[in-house]
Amino acid sequence: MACNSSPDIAPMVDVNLNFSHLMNSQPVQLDKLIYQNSLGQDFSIKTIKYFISDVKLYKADGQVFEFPDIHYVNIRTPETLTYRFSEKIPEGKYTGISFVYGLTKEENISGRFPDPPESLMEWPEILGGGYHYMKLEGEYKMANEVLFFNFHARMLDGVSNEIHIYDLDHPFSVTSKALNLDIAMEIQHWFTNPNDWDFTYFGPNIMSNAEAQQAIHENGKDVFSITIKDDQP
Amino acid sequence: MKRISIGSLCSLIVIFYSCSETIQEPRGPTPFTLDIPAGFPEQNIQEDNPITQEGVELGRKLFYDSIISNDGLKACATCHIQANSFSSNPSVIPHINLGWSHNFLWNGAVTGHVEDAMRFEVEDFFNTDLSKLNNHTEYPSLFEKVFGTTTITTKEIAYALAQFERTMISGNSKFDKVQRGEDEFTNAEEKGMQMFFTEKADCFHCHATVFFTDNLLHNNALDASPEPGLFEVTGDTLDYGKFKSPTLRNIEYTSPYMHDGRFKTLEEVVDFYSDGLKHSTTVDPLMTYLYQGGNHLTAEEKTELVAFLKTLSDPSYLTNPQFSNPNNTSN
Repeated sequence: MACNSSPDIAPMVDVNLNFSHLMNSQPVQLDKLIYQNSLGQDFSIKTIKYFISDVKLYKADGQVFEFPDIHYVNIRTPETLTYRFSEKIPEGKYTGISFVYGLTKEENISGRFPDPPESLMEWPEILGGGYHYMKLEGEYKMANEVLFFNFHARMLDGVSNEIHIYDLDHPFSVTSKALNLDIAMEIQHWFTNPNDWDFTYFGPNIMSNAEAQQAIHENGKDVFSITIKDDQP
Repeated sequence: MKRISIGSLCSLIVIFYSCSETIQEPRGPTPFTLDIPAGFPEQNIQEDNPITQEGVELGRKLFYDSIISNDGLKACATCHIQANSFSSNPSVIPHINLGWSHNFLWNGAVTGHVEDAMRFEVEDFFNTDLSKLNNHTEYPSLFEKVFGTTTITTKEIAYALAQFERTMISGNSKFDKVQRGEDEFTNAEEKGMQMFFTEKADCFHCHATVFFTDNLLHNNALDASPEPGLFEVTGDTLDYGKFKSPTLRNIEYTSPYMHDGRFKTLEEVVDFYSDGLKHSTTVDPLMTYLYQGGNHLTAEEKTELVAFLKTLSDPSYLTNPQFSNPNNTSN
């Protein structure tokens, strides 16, 4: 993507990411114990922090534009909910997008992030090191008691469980406007399909629970959706 | 007979001219290189306050000088005592590794760099009488060497103090030595470490990174009717009862504990987290054992956890002559 003044080179366009967090297709209301999972258990959401990385844009002519940025999202920090890449892409026809929820195994190295807030996602060395891919926290109801849950996700036993999100059959045109990629997390999907998440079975803490981490990994495949603004196929 | 050619003479003249020019140039303060321990990140140094030898010395002198308080009775060191890891009773936040901090005071009233924290201390806590410093026989020239001005304002005082604070680094505890392969945990310390860094005791989420603090504010379930904490600063009811996570480095030397100093010993602190959690509406979800009042550690586990906490002690920080009182008078 080097500069070139040749007139036949397409103009370069900014790429923006915009993040939203939905519950049953509506913007999530934090701190409210008003949601039910697929098993009918009441729960609320208080914390959503996670990494998005390895964004790739696939051009119709076969070129792939890959962004090395790792972006940290915190639902309570508005400035993390939008992100503009420093690199631009050329105008033209594209066929799809992919990105990674979490960090790839190669990037998930302790000390990768020296400063907060990313450094605060660290995953203890004795549990394998690296970083939390996500901290999703809230409350759930068990009988008449309200308990906290810490849905903290990453990997166990050296198996990286980042999720590669592919949307490769999604033709769109990039014009002189900035390309806006709206990435929405449907939170409810973390708790179902194929695994119905039972808060009482998994309990408040799951960082050392391989079965829980595996269930999260399997449920995460349809959590994210991508909408392209100014979509002109 | 020795001959000096015209060319050589010219060279000599140039050399002499160059030398005299160098001597006449005003010399700035000497850059100071921080001694960052292995595994620690670089400090985020403010561009307008580079650390210099003269700046650090000036900050250290000010830290120990009661001229900084309006009534002339207190210095920084009056409450921040080196033998206590620069804290004191009751519950004075220790000054240790503050160069990496970005939230200051128990209720988070000051955010930014340590320069901002020092400015708060100078302007709001000490209400420093600038005329005393500006009319002092020694300080104006010391400030001129560091900042190039003889007019001392709260900014220069805060910046000098911040330069000293940035050198106050502790990273030589037994924990650090074990990380570097120079020492080994005892069996009890190892078990305590396992609890600390897993959700068994779940200390690491708030007491995070090499600094053993996330520098954030939380309601840790201390009281059923908590004090306002961060609410005093933000006015947001969701911030009620939130206080800054203190570093656990040198925690052995900074009794008493919690924002109000209610616990005298580490054993009392561990007892609280084990069995004394109290529900209130803003308790942090990281306190996952709230519903059962704590994680109910056994007596042996509590002992092991305290044993691990004491491996975070760096006694060399308490006696490091670089941080001691440089003035003749003791505080």
